[in-house]
Amino acid sequence: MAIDSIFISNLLSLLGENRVITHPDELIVFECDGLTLHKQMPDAVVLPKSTEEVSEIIKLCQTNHTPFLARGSGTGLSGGAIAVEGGVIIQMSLLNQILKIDYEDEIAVVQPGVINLNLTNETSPDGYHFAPDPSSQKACTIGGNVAENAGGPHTLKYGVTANHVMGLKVVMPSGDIVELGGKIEEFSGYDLVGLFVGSEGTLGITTEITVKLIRNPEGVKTFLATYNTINDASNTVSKIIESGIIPAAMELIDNLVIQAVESHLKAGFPTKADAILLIEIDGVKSTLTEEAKRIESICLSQNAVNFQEAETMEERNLLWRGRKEAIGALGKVTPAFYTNDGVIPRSKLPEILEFDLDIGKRYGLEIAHICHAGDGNIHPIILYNPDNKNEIKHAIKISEAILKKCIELGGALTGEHGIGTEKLSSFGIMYSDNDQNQMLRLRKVFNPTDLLNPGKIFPEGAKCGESRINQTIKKGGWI
Amino acid sequence: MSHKLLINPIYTSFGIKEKHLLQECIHCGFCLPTCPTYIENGKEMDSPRGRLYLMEAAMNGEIDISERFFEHIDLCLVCRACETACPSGVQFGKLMEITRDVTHSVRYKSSVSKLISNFILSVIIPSHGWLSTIFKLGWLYQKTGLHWVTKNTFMKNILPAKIRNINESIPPIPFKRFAKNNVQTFHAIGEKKGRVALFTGCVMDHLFPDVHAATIRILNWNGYEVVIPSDQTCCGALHVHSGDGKTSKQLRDINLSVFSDRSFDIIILNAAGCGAHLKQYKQENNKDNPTYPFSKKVKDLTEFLATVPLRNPEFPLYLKVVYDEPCHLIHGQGISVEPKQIIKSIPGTTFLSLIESDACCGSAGSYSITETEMSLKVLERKMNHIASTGADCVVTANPGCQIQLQWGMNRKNLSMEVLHIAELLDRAYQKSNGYPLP
Repeated sequence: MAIDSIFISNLLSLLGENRVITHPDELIVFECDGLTLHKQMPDAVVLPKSTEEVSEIIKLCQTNHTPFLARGSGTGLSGGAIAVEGGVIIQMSLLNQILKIDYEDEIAVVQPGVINLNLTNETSPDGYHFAPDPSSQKACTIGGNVAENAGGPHTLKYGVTANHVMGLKVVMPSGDIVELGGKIEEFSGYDLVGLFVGSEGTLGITTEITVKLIRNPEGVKTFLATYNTINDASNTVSKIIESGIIPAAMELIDNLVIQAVESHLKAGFPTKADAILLIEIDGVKSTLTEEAKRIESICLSQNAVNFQEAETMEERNLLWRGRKEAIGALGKVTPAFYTNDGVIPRSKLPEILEFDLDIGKRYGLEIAHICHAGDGNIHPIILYNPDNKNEIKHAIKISEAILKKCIELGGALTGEHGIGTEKLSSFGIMYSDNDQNQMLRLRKVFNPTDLLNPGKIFPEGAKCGESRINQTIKKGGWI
Repeated sequence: MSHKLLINPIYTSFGIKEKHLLQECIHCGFCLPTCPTYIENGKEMDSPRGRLYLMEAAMNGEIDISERFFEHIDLCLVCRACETACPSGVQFGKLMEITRDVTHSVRYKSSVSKLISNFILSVIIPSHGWLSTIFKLGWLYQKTGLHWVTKNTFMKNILPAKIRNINESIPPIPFKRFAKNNVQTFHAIGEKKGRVALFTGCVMDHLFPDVHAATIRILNWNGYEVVIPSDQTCCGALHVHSGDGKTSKQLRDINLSVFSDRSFDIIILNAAGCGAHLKQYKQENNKDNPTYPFSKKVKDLTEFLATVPLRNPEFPLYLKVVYDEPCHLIHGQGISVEPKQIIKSIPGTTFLSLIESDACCGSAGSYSITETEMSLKVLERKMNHIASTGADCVVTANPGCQIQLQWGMNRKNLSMEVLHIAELLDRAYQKSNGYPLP
């Protein structure tokens, strides 16, 4: 075991009894995040309330040679917040204050435990929002968004988290506190902010984040296009981008997901449709009418059987609730699922969707789709029964095959979920040994002891230490 | 310290049905930021997702059913905000009730607190005789000035913190409850449109008789005859939340037989907690069971008023109002628009928005007594939001919330009024010609 009683008593004297969790009957809830396929219990969980406390915790871990990592709301889908080698989870939920909102410079400074949507809710009465809007935005933390470089439906027009982070306060794996970037673009020296965003919590732990605030567009229009075949829907996506229009968002949802959403949330999706596209445009009001007409005619030319605009704010919100909570709604149709995050060039959308359906049939598992279609982030969701060992194996095989196909088509392993523990085995498909070694050398510079979030991103063998990930079935439970 | 039990009742009692209910949770975490206890202490075990995980681990025999387990189960307010947030419709409240029920028998074996709690739940609360006696003593306690002494003099420092808190939270106690021992009928004013029954409950009946009076005047004014069947008893919600499923079922059966008279079109409630529970009566039975038509007839006052042509208040009531949504109205019954519409229909009234109006106030049945520390933290957050609105009055629709919010006002020295929505509407109607006087 990586920790002993002296180490625990040091943590207790630093944080007090209420903010240190060490009993297995409680630690069990930290054994997985949004990815329930991989599980490993930490040895302790601590809840710091300040940057200094994070630094002290890290120093204690280093002295004791104990692995440690940060965790937000545990909504990640690649296992990024699992303590693969045991050790300490630094739970950031009490670092949840919005420290500053500055409309003159259009920035906000937040602690990492701030819920993504809370920042938008706080600033929207003044006409601003935080642009990265992952589907989990109601629950996920901005710290987690930074770690995974989270995207979301509106990534298509507004970019991912990396495009919105200006500065970071980071506690390094040594315990040193550094400030990277700031409230203006810095072009001198190395772009360390760029390096940290998306590093999956393996280079340091951020405790303050300076982000851009984006002015709300003057006008927004949201459309629902209904299709009899998923192929028509995916063809439409390329046609719209080809026409020169960049929608704010363009989401493809297939019938299985529509059924799940309509069984409880009732967002108003047509249950008989094979697929729908949720398309949003925004900008200066006067230009939107013309754009809307063009989008409608493209959809109809690609055999959309219905094209309608959300007429009220309530209707629009409901459509988006259906889309963003679709993942959760799948609980209505399956006891467990596995979400793939592969990316392909947009033009290959029909090809990959056909491949998914084929491979699903071959293994006898259903695959649902909620794609950020506009940027080729496909999100096939493999439904399986966690009590059936074969189905678990097949789900993993299907996912690996899809990722391999994505790379063949010129795509990538992940659009927004990160590699985590989930895609370790596929990492080598995309990156050569040389590529990987270069990245590992970089990690060594920041994280020389490899105690910060070990077992993530790089496959077995590419690093020292042995993964303890538990992929076996627990009695009656999910894996 | 942890006190391990020899048996794990969840392992032995949870079957296929419970497993399916648990498996509807796919661990997305959407519930976390809506959970008052998670917001306060940031611990996964005190979030809905974490609690479900603990239940599942217990079902699988992976963890012990110890006091450590109950700490997280008991800290849950059962406000059910997580159910509103849940994309796959996990029935969290139901799972929590089942968990508390199956573990009830093995808890606090032979301890004094268990005996007291059992006595209160199974003897006092179901009996209007006992309740009347106790509330009369309470009335006397306040009238003689003894309550003032224990609240405001050195006496308060002698009381243990928990007793002191309960003592301070007691609202003014009326001399008499509203309902009588015989059937009461209140006739419609003008053309009679229907006949409804009023469920009087326990806390509302004994502590807030004025709310029942206001409810009846409103219904009469809108053309409904109101009947109060005698011998009705507590709905049993408090019992279910405390894990006493047995007494709860006995109370259910009494109420079902009292309300079996088929001449009532509707059974009206003005206590959100009771309403949510009465509507659940049907879930425990199949469709052949007589509870089915009963639950269909149960309507919250605001829900009912939204379905009838409501007489508009004629005269303005100049008040700045915020509405604090009772958990068991918005999350338990999905009723949120209706009460707001009623408030907005009153001329002269300004409806102010309240941050986190859909979050619990910390009352949660007996929670403010059993988990006082967390209850006060949740209340503090609520009162800060309320204070920042600058309203004249806070409107709600549940007796527990009324008590808790009034206590919050006293603690913060705020002079805002706390009103039940029936009291607000009744006040707006009062200047109308022909409206019955209080």
